[in-house]
Amino acid sequence: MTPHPHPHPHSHPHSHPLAAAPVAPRDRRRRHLPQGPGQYLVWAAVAVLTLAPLAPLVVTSLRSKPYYLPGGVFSVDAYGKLFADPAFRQAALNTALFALTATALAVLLGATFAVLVTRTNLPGRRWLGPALSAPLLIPPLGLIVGWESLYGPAGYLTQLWSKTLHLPAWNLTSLPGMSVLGAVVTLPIAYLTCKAVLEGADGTLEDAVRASGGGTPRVLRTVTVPMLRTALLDSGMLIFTLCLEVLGIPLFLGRPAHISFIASYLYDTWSNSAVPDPPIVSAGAILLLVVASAILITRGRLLRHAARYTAGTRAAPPARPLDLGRWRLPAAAGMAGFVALTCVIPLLGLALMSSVTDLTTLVAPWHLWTGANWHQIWTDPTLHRAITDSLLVAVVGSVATVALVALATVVAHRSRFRLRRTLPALLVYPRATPGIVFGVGFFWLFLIVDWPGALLRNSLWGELLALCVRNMTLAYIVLSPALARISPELARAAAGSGASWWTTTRRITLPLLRPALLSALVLMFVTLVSDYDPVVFLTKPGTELLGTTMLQTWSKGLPGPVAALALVQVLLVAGALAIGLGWTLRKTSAASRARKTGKTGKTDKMNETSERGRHA
Amino acid sequence: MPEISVRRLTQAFGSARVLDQVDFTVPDGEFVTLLGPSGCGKTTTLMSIAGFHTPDAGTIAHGDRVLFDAAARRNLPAEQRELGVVFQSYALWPHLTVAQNVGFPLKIRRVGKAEITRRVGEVLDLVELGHRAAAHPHQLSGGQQQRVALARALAHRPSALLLDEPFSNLDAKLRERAREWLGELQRELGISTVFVTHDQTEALAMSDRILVMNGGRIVRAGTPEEVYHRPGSRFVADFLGRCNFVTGTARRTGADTVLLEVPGLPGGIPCHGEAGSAPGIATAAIRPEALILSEPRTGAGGAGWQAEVTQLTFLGDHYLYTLQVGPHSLQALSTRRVHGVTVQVTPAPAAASLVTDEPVPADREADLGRAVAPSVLRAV
Ligand SMILES: Nc1ncnc2c1ncn2[C@@H]1O[C@H](COP(=O)(O)OP(=O)(O)OP(=O)(O)O)[C@@H](O)[C@H]1O
Ligand SMILES: [Mg+2]
Repeated sequence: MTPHPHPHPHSHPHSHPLAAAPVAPRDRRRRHLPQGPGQYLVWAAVAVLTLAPLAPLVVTSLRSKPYYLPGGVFSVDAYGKLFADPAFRQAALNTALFALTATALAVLLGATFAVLVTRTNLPGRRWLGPALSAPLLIPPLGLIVGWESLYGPAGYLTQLWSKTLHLPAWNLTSLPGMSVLGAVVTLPIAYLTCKAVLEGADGTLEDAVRASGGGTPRVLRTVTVPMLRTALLDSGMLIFTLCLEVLGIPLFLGRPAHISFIASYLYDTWSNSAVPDPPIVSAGAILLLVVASAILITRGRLLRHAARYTAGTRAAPPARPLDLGRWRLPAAAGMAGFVALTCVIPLLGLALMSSVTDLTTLVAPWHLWTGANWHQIWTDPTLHRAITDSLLVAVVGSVATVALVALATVVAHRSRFRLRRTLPALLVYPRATPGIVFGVGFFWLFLIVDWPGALLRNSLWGELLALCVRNMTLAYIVLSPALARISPELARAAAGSGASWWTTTRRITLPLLRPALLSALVLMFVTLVSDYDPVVFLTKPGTELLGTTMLQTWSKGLPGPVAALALVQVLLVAGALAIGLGWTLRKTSAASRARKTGKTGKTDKMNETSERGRHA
Repeated sequence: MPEISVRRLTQAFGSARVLDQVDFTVPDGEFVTLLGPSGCGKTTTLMSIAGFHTPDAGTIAHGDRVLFDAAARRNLPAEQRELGVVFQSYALWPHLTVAQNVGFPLKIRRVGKAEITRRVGEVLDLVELGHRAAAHPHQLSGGQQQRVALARALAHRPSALLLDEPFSNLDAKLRERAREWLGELQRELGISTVFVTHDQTEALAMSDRILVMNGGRIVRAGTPEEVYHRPGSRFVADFLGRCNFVTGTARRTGADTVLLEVPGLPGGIPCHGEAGSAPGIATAAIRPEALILSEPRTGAGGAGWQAEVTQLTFLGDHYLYTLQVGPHSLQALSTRRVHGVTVQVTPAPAAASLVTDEPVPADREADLGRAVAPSVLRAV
């Protein structure tokens, strides 16, 4: 029936006045817009953006000449040439050694720190824990420049150590040195994975060992460490994949020692090739993509059944943390020292280097004080533009990406759209793919597809697109767990009230996601300010961003302005985090205040009982 | 007539049949309850009517509007079904005030601002929450939230109301009040209602008609009295409360009466038994309160059996006796405390009824239910 087209003849004599006459003649006035086209549009946007850069990559790697030159034929020459090049083989070997060392170090330290923070009575673990994940948010180039200025061969602390104290010095610009930095940058992944497993595990298992007479070492050996086995495997494979694509470390630190990695080999080949845009770079990118995908697929296979071992039925910490005894203070000091040496001091070094003419142990820094670097990045149009352009890209890009990913997440997990199950994979894979693969892919895409490629090819918007697509995943991994925590009944209740899918999304689902949307926005902004590897192949004079400008300025041998730019990056990131945090704190304190002024559940229930008693 | 008719609804998840030929009608203005143990498919049935679940086969119609028809591939989206749904979790939107929650269905329908305000006030007064319109859901107690959910479901004047265990989050006392209050409101509004619960007292107290479900099938349908006194199968008798089962030989004594001759129970048990049931070995269900206890009479003669009290439990408003009558162990309820070890037990007339061991298949039961209902209604 059309509901109440007429007040229906009531069989109930005492029918309530409220039951008569419809509120509005619904079906006639209210048109239901079909939800399908919009959902297809969201899906198509995600699918095209993420998949489009891959096709041209494959095509161009299989040509005998650069795509746009006449006379090219299909061939696998590029792959042959790549493998025949001794420089590439050396680079591949370097990359493998670097990735293995860095992964082993990162996993070992990350797991140790996670156990110390979650399972022991380490003093100050509440501050040390979050501090350990800081490298995830510090712009990587800033960290590298900071390390170079302090720990590099001519670095301030290296000089201090070897010249003043006459002790044997380390060599940062060697494979082991670079691996240490690689481990520091990726350590938070291992730390956070292990921490999550330990926090989700049933601590009574550890109590049980203790109850049967085992001491701290036995507890660690029999329960805690075995519990971490899958987490170690999981984070280890992820870190290894990330290490394969590292570009900044070899470009900044490997150059002087002529140590090249796959990514820097491709970048150098691209920049120095006699024929512009050689197919060999596409071939190398494809190779990198294949290796990374193979590792990640293996990881998925291996961990498919892992949930069984990690999912604690009862997530509770052990009744009493493990006692470190006399190692308490040394362990805390060691961890604090680690954080200071790897993150805090390099950032201070960065600040110092941006404000002196030369960072040397021969003259005290305050004699070399200068504002020249800051003046230069303000007056040099290229450097100045890098800052404003990066800011523009970060603001526009984070808003656009979060908007698209938010819709895509809701389509993926809260709709009956036919292709919804493909969306999570499409959203996750870009970040798992090496950044320079995306860079080369987008370069060719803009070149081959004339519209809108011609518009994007030499403009900031092309770079924005590449950066945003590459980092979509981050918005998704913030939004999808948040959405999973919102009961699907809330959306169903809206549909039951007559709201279409789009209305439900706009009025109910997205407003409920607001805190997660803000987190995603901040994370996207931070990433877009710092990320650079997808755009190194796209940047043209006039469209530099912070990262690419720093690379170029560094290669010109001007560390001062690079340090200043890196510090700008750090400050932008810190500002965004502060704004996000402040907003969240204000919201939560307002909410808790509102909760306090409202009656608490208990008294309310009593009020209600008495109130209902009066009515009855 | 805007009645809801559900025909042969079937749904399988893998090899498990969650709904198996579910077939029933909700007459206009009636309160129909889906009752059954956990996992029997109540929520699945209700959500199929609401449009949040797509069964494999069957049809659902509301009046002359076909909501779902698997064969014709018609499946009206939930938002176009014009029903009022109350979810088990209430599903109040935490970012909106009580008034905004209740006004949402009206806003969707582009009702004018003034009209929304008026109608929201009206519905909130109906659920006695007019004074909390500006509160947010988290500031309300469980019972108040439940009433807001109901107000929201009623705001757009749906032609039917679907409720999924709306009282399961309330404490026992509040639940009893809420039950009375909802029953009253439903009768006042005269709105067709489908109510889901696994609590048999709730179902008996509120419903015009009860559908007992088990394993995805409707195994008994009827008024609360019918279902309680003539359960038809062991499962239904057991599910609706304490029950004694006695097996013996049935002998037909009238059009729908049977005498069950049981060794050890002299005189047998007079039972209600449908005309169709074949004579022979049969089981009778008899409720504990239908066994009348009295002081033991000296000398033989008179109806009833001599029984020995093996256990006595005080339940507050009555006593539960466990009795041994020959080889049989029976339970009896009485408000009276009978002293002594032996008592006289007499079954109340026409209190027992024959039951089958297996629930009757859904389609036959539905036919039976339809055939029996009018005659019983006349009798009552
Ligand atoms: N998506 C699904 N996949 C597989 N099985 C399902 C799914 N949804 C429900 N079921 C099964 O269907 C059966 C009926 O579920 P339903 O939620 O309708 O039960 P219910 O009668 O409402 O139970 P309760 O009283 O516990 O709420 C259950 O056995 C459940 O395991
Ligand atoms: Mg249920």
